[in-house]
Amino acid sequence: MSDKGVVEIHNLHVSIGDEPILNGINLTMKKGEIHALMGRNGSGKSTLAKVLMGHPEYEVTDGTVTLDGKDLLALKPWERARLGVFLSFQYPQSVPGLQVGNFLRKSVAVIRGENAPGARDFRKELKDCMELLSVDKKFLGRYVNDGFSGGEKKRLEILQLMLLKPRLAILDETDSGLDIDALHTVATGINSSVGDSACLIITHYQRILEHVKPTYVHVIVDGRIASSGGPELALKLEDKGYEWLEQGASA
Amino acid sequence: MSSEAEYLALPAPDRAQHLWRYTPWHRIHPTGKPEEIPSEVSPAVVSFTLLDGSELPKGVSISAIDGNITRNIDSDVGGAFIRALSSKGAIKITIDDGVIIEQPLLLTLESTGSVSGIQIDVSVGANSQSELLTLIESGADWFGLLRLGTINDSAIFNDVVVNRLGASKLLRIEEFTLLRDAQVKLGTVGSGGVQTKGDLRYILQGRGANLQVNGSILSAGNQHNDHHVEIMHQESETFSRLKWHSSCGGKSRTIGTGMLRIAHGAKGSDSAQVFNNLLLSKDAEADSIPELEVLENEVVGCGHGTASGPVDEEQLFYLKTRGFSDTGARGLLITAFLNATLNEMGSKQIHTWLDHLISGGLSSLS
Repeated sequence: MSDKGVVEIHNLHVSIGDEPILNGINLTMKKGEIHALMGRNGSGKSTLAKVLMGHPEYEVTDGTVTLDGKDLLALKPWERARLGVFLSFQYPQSVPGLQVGNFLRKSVAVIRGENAPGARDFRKELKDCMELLSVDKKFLGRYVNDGFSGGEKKRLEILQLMLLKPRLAILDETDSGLDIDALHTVATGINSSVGDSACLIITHYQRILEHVKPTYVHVIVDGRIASSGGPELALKLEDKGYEWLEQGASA
Repeated sequence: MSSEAEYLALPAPDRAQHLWRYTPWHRIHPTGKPEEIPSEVSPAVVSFTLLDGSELPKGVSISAIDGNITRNIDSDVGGAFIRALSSKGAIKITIDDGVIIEQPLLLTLESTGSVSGIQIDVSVGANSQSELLTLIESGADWFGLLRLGTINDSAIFNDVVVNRLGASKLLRIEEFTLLRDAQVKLGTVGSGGVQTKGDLRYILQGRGANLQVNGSILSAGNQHNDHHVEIMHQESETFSRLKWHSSCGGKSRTIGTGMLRIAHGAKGSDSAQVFNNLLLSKDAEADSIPELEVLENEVVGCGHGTASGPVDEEQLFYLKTRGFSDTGARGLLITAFLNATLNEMGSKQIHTWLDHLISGGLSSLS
């Protein structure tokens, strides 16, 4: 691993139609680092997540994003996924008719390619991950996110994170809608996956950061990173809110 | 009166009925001239085994029968036509009372010659448990299948009909009667044939009868698939669900018309029907018309619905973020859409077999 960041975002500007949403994001994330991204609703957090994954709704009007030195913005979403980008969705889609077990097996095969485990090793890996996340075996026979509770959806997202072993993991409000026990379980899954990847956790709350310790905390205001710091920044936000930063940004 | 004379005496069906609105009788008729009955008719080649090819178990039999089998329906043009064609091609399949068969039964019907047809009488014994998979294979330009069946008291029966015809037309006419506490799943899988007209009727005649009808239709090219499904609740405490999924690619057209009838006195009936269509190209067309006729006030439920649309872009994006290519994600969504009904059709053995069949047909969609 060189000193170069796993992910380098430089001067990223993004719009939907004529509406600018991100106005010059700069961020570097390295292997093993956990970056927490906080901000009010509508500040651009989820937009950044989707743009990094290649959602077609957004137009990148300026800037660059590289993963291990490769131009991420030139790639299709599935090419980004195979390169090592993973997005845990805030609201994962349901796919009736597609069984979880079948979905996971196929997804691991296409993303991990030559490094994908054989059938026996995959079953063992899957079993271990499911045990860690307290997921019942029956889960595998259900359709993807179809009729799942909020907590079950988030568990399935983290199960995928663990199995797909990305270089960049983006977790978009993975903590929302989870009770204390589920939050702890999901955080255990996240912590077990971070070692070889950079991780961007988008959240509104300090709560998950008590379980998943961030290396850096960033605050996004009006599509720009207005402040960055260590874990103490999240505590300050919990205490003072966002107003002091917004005043600074507008000044 | 001969079966030919019976057919010729029937009036042309009224296109005001949903049954004939989208595929008029002359269009599915083998010569296009309803007044004609082809004289050159080849019998279907029949094979009946267990799914693994082994011999039929004890308690299951197949035999030729003299004469015709008949639906008790007015102006049954389709049934009358197949009877006129195939008066020497009727068979009876019997599953004895109390028989339990672990492996699905496989009935293969290979159409031969130019025009081919067969009549099948299915008798499923009381308290039996069985699964019947019927494959309609390529051969003739036109194939007529008339099936009648009785599912006796407390029988558990899964039945799946698979259309694997090539560039052929299929007229499929059937009627099954469910007696007391019979539990039946009837599935239709359509991936073949250039034109299909199905007139499928199910009668819940015994108290507590439970019926699930599922359709997975994969249309491509210029295929025309028209299925009419009628479910009649004639007794109290009966239950039915109709779920029909059609995916339409190319310039194909699918039609699903459903009629739920709840007779006066069928108290506590519970029924619902849903038609879903996945449109895969701008030239594909899907029509779904669910209808209800409820003559009893005290029902648990009687609902219907239909939805048509293209592949969901957000679902596609989700799958792409999991490494599936543009075509891979699309194929996975189509398979999932069809699987949602395919999965309900029978045992895991049948589903595995059907899943393989559907996956093979996806390449023809565009």
